[in-house]
Amino acid sequence: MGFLSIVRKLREKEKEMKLLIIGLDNAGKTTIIRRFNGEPIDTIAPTLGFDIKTLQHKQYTLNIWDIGGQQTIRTYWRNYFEVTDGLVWVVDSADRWRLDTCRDELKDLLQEEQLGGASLLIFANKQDLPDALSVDQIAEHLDLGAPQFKKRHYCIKAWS
Amino acid sequence: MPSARVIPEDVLDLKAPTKKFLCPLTANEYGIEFLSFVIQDYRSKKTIFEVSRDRPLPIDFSTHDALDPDSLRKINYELSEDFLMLPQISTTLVFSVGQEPLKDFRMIERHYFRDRLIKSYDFSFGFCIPGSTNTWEAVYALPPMDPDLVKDMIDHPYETSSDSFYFVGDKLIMHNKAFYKYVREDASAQCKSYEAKYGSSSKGEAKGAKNASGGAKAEAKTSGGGAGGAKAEGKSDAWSKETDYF
Repeated sequence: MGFLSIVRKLREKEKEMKLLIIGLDNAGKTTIIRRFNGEPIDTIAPTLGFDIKTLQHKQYTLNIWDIGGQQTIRTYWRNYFEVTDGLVWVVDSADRWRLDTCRDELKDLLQEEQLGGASLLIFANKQDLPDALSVDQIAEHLDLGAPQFKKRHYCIKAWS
Repeated sequence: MPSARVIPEDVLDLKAPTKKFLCPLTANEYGIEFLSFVIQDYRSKKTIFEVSRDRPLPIDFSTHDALDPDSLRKINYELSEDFLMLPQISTTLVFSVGQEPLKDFRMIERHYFRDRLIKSYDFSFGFCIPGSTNTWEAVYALPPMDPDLVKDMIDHPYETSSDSFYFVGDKLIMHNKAFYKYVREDASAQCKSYEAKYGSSSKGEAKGAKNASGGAKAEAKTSGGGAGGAKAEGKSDAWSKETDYF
């Protein structure tokens, strides 16, 4: 492989981006992407694997990887970390019973070396539900003040 | 059947449709099944084409040979000419995998008009979870095509074709062929041919496909006009111009 072809490869890479959308099951990951895409959201079943969207615009490509969040699937998450540019963590703000699990899974995730360079966006989803916790409460529960987040480029947003 | 092992680089070098299938039907030892394939106009969300267990393709008995097992991996598509004209297309493929985890699952698809390569797609799914059902939607704009080529493709049904190759790692596990016919739209008609056929129903969806019985088998899979994989090939392609509709 010549130098030029290496450069070409690198440049191809720059025109491609990978977003990984992840979180516990029933957090609303697939729904968020469908809405983003202007698609109907009335018949969404649990994602039992992955749901990839490849969006091409001119020579740029955005790959959005939505991975199922069920417990049995979570052990496979690490297979999808490679070359991730952005990480979107989706939280069901009304699922109070599982906030501890949610926090622990996120902590484990951020310790993964392969995700070291990825920016993190947290969606405190389902804010429209009457018993949803506020964004601040979610941030506190997820322990976003912990040293782990000091070096991370992250942001938390309310979503419904 | 060629005895030499076929690797991804080999099929990326192909310049014309293959004469034969490059792997046996039995090479798919991973239980991969294609559940549905849908083509939509991305902007209007209208379905242009759908094949799924709910909506199997009719078998063309004039070309179908029940004694030829390879007829299972040849498929004829009839698509509206709009497929060649619409500014943004989305294709959605739903497939399930067997009880083994799949590593480095990759699709390479070569599209030809006669012996001329017009487009190549290369998409790596990577890992597939055992027993999973997975969806891949690709949204892309086809750059404006040479009008003479479009006319030729419409005038000569089934002379546009594609070879789809599926690899696990470097191992070729499936090879399917598709042949395309493009149907002209009647400008005086009240609605498009596909609106009459598929209505305004949204995507076939995995759910319907998964639970339905009978119908299309594995052959119902080959992704149509190219799945817009990450690495659409460069210069020699008739469809790859620097500018597109945006």
